[in-house]
Amino acid sequence: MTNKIETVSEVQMVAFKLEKEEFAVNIHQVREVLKMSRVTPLPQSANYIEGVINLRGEVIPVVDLRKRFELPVGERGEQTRIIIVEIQNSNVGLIVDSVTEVLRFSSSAIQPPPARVAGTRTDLIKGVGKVADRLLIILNLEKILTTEEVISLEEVTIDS
Amino acid sequence: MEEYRDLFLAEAGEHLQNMTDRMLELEKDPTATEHLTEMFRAAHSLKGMSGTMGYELIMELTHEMESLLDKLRSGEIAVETGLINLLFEAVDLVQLMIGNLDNRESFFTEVKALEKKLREWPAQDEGDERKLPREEGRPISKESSAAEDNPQEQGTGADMVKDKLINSELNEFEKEMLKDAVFRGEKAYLINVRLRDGSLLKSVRSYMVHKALEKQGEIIKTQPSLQAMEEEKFDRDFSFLLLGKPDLEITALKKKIESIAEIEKVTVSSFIIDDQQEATTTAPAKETQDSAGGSLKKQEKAAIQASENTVNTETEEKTKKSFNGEDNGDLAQVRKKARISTLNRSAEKTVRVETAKLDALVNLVGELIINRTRVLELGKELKNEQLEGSLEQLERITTELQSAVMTLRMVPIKQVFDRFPRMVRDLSQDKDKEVELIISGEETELDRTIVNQVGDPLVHLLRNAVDHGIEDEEERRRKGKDPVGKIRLEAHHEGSHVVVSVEDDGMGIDPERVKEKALQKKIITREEAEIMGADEAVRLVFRSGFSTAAKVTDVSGRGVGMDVVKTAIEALNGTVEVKSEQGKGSKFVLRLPLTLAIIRTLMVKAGKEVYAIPIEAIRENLFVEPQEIRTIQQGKVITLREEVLPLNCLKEGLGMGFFEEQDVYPVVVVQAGDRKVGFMVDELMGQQEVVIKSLSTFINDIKGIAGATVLGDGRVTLILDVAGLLEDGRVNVGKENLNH
Repeated sequence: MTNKIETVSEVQMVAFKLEKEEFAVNIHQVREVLKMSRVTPLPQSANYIEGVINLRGEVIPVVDLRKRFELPVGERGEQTRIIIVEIQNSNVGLIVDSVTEVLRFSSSAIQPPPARVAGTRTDLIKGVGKVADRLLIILNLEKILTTEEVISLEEVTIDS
Repeated sequence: MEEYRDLFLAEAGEHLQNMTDRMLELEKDPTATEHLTEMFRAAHSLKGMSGTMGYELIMELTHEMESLLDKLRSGEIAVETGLINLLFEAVDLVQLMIGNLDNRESFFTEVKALEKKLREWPAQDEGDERKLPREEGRPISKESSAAEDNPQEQGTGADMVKDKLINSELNEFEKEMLKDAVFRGEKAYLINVRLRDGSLLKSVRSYMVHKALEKQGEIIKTQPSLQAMEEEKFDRDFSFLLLGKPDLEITALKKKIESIAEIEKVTVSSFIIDDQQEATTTAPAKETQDSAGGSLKKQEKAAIQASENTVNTETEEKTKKSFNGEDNGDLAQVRKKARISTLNRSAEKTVRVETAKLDALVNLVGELIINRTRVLELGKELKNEQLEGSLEQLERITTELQSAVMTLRMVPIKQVFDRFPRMVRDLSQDKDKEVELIISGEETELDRTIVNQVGDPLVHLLRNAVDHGIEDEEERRRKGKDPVGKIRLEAHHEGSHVVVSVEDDGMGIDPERVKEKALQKKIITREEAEIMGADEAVRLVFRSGFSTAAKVTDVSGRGVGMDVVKTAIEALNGTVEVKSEQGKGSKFVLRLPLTLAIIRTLMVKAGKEVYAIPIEAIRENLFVEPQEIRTIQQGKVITLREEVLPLNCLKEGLGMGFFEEQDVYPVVVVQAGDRKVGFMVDELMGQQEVVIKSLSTFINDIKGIAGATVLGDGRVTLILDVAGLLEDGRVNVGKENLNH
């Protein structure tokens, strides 16, 4: 509570894991984080749309980020979480392997996506955050969730 | 000002509608002068409202309408179709400007032309001096003098409004006080004060005026309230109602108040209390004569005094703003002024609420109901008697709450019906046909969202009836029919539905012609046409790409046909049917659900999932044994009462699983349009009322899914859209699919 006034030069991010990669999403975009719950499947929709859940009466679609990035469906366990994010004024749930922590980045620690890494799609990545020796990829969720094209994990990661 | 725009729009709409209704009535019966009074009132209110809002063009036009109506009322001119048409023209133009408030100035030329027509009807030209003063900045110098030529009428008119304003605010006690004072020989004065623009010490000024008046008599009412004055909660105008000696020196009093700094304008006039005021226009009230003998004379005198005073101020002060704008700049008064007209008709019993707030409330109650169900389930498990008792109570109250809230969303279908008399009138005039529109059941209520969406289909049906249904006069005579064609528009409740029908006594639909047309357009094949019955043929008009109109007329046609009506109604979970007897007329019957927010469904289990099927779409439930099922061209069918019914596995139809063999198959027979299909499910789970929630905008429309609902245990269940499901390729719907 000592840091009530958030300085402009600092950004808070919710960090999560998918496979071995670490990602981050701006805390302002995150409504809440839920434990994995029962999802009602939707017929005839994209394979990565897991279905819909009830969040206090609101029906919210849930996307399996693993499936979105063409990863094999992993075991869902104690660590599996649904991150509810707000995209274009509506809420969407993201299934991730785990949510690790809330991190503070100083603006200088966030860099634009490197343009010349093979296979990486810079339009899908907002930036890269560095904390100690960790690299977190800040995803452009709007783009990833509204486009229908197939995206592989390689396209949103950076091999360091 | 702009924040009052919505209010203005709503009120203006009501006034215009009222005027339209009255005009139609008047056209039918030109002797019914009470309609004229109402129209006059509506025009007057519109003028006042638009003036206050600063919509000069609307104000000017309505002023001309008012003047013309006044002439009508006084018997100077007579009611005739041409005149009604002219007035309609004016109503339309006002409507147009109201609909395009931001661009209202672009109608300048039209307004001026129409004003001229109104003024000169029927080519008399005494209205020139009736021109209104223009707003600031428009370089018409003669106008202000014109206002001075004729301030008497306007002045008294304005005071009347103000009088009424305060009158409507007077409580019984204050009225008694007034009457008492009059009885004692005292007199009531209304003092209106306007401060200079930008006055810095508004409360001080008003206090000084108050002080000055106190010495002259008893102040019994202020507008706004004293407290509001102290807190400067007013714009520039305030008024006092003062009881004082009948010989009060009005001019001296005026001077005294005017000597207070920052005062722009003062008017002092005699105030007449409500019942007496009515007496000036209608027969004098008996009570008035008895209790305050000779008060009528006083009134006359007062009226003269009042107008004298207005003359004074008008000449003293340069008219800076348009008359009505000056009348009351205070925004709170816009409301009151507009309210007067409704007050006169009936006591105010309604409150305007934003629809968004209403929807939020409905949603919350929906949540409450869902959670209640869950709590009730948990309560039962606990088997605590006391808990069960209070839960029952809770259930009862929430059920009542739910139905109470649902009625909030209900509006009478009148809202839609109201515009039809005018439309049918114009259409029939256009087509040179005599048509009478008979409306009944307009008080029938249904959900606001449905009312909003049922308008266009009805317009289409009515247009069709006028254009294609009703024959022209000559032909009707030849057929021995009443030369005036009749169209009946009717609405009534039927269970949880509202039935709206449009019936005409015209030529009806010729099944043979319809078939021919359908053949031409390749909607049906020759073989189908041959075996097709008359009723079925008539129903072809609902097929897309079909339009019986030989030529595309202004009235109907334009490439859209009855299929548009059908699609629109089905989108509302409703159905549309047609009955037609050749030579006698046609009847279109729309069946609409009362509400869209909550529907009755049958819960079925298919695979791991539970789905809700709207009861509306369900014809019956069956249990089918494997040996009853036959296969025709890879599609499963059963014979049900000598009819071949295509069978589908629901899981398969939704693409959520595959058919599995069972000892017995529960089957839900659903129907959409004329297609009937059976869906095999794993289990029938019983009926339930559910609150429909839309799927997120994030998900594209899924064919066959109407929405979702949250069950008592918090699970999300999908609601099926049967019509959509049957259109989907993977569902076997019988003959049409056999070709594939």
